[in-house]
Amino acid sequence: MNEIWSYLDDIFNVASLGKILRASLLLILGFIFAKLLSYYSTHFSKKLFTVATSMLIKRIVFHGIFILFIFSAMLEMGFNLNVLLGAASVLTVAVGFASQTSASNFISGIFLMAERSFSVGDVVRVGSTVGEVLSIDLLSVKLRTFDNLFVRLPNETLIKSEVTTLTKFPIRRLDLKIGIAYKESIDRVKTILQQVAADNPLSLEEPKPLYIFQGFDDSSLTLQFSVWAKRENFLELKNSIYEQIKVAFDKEGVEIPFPHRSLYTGSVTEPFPIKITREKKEPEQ
Amino acid sequence: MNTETPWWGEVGLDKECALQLDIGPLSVAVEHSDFEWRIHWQREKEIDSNDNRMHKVVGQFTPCNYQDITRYIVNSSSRQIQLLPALADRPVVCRPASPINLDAGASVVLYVSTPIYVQINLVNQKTTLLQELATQRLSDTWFGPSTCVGELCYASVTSGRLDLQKLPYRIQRATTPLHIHNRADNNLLFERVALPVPLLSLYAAENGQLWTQSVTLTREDSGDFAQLKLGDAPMESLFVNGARKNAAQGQLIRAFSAIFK
Repeated sequence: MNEIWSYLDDIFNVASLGKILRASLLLILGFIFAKLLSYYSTHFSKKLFTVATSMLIKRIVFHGIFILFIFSAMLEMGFNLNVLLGAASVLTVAVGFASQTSASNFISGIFLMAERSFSVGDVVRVGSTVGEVLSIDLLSVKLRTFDNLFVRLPNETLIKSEVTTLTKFPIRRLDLKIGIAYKESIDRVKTILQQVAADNPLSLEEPKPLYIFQGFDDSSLTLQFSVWAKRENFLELKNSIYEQIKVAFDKEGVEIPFPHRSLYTGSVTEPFPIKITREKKEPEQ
Repeated sequence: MNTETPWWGEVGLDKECALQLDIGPLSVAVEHSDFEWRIHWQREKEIDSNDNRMHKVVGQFTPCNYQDITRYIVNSSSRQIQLLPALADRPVVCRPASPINLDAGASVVLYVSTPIYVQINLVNQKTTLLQELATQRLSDTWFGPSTCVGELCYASVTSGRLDLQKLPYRIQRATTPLHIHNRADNNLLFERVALPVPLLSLYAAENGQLWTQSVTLTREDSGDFAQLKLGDAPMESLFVNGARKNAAQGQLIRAFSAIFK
């Protein structure tokens, strides 16, 4: 019992209390200083980097400065930092093995931010997922799909896979696949399509609509007609122009064929002979 | 066209009264009721965009058969509304019916016209914009060296008339005198020119025709840059509406490809 009392006496003697006070003061000052510096760092980084990158810089500045002050406070208390750093390195190796995936995501996150292929608010397509980027964090990217689902994609996946940013450029091209009957004149169809595009105010006059003959398919001649639109009007144009093409084709008598198959009996001119017979019913016993 | 009373300006509308304005293909009606303004509008498909249709009625009637209605609830008992013509909110790419070739060292004045917008403002202690409608919906277009670099504009076809006397009267369009100087050593073939209408102000001539300041485009020696200069107000005209954007000192240097193509 006496030993405990003498130990406590050692700790709470005037000199030790002074050390504790100084260490606490260092921690408080360090916290305030780190907060202030990280706050002001965002002011500058926001002008140069994206929101996600400036948030990352803010965190690094805060934690870096605060950890330095924690070390100073520990030195003030009389801790031997060499031992602590040795233990930390062993711990780092152990934690590193245990958190390989997280570390990989973390590094991928830094590369994603540096690469700037997309930023918060962009619409991206990753595999079959299309959505608006809500945040780019250290471990994952959060998306909101258009059917209002929240999707979390690990940064490692994004680095490894193909990511399409749909909102990078102000205009987009809409490729329309159109099949017409073999009997139709391709030139006439081309003129009708160009008129439909010219009449639709959402279809950009320049770049000019693109026309590509795709080939002779089983039931139709396949054409590709590509029109450009302002990014925001893409869906509206897609809906309106298909309808307008159908109306224009109906008006001009252009046939949009459905898949059909012709059977020949070896001679093109002669049809199959058809014989209608009636089955004889067997008398009931 | 009644030149003494232009269609723009302030109109007092009592409660349960309406104003109907038909200008070119656009029909718009403004209805006033208790703390509420209703704006009805539609564009007549059968009416040609060059038709000088103009009809303005104020009285007690209920507008009907309009395509679109927007209601505005206001905290004001003002009965004054203001109609103003305005130019398009994006540059207009004017395409001459056939490409124009301008010889080295030559200059020309082309008269190009662009469709106007109708601004409906509520006048109280300050003027509040209620709605803005284009008399003609122009097609979107892209103007720039590539599909990544450029600017969204409206597309319009122009006759590119050179003779002022042959200019037809257009109530729903504003005319801009476009001076082009080719100071380069080679010919200037232009198929399209981007007219920066958001930088221009509107003026009315005595006959009611709307004009803008002149625009001078000078192709410099090197051919890579074009100088764009906005002129003064047209002679004997009244100021009607200001520019949407301010041009820095009325003179801009732009990449040649940003103006001509």
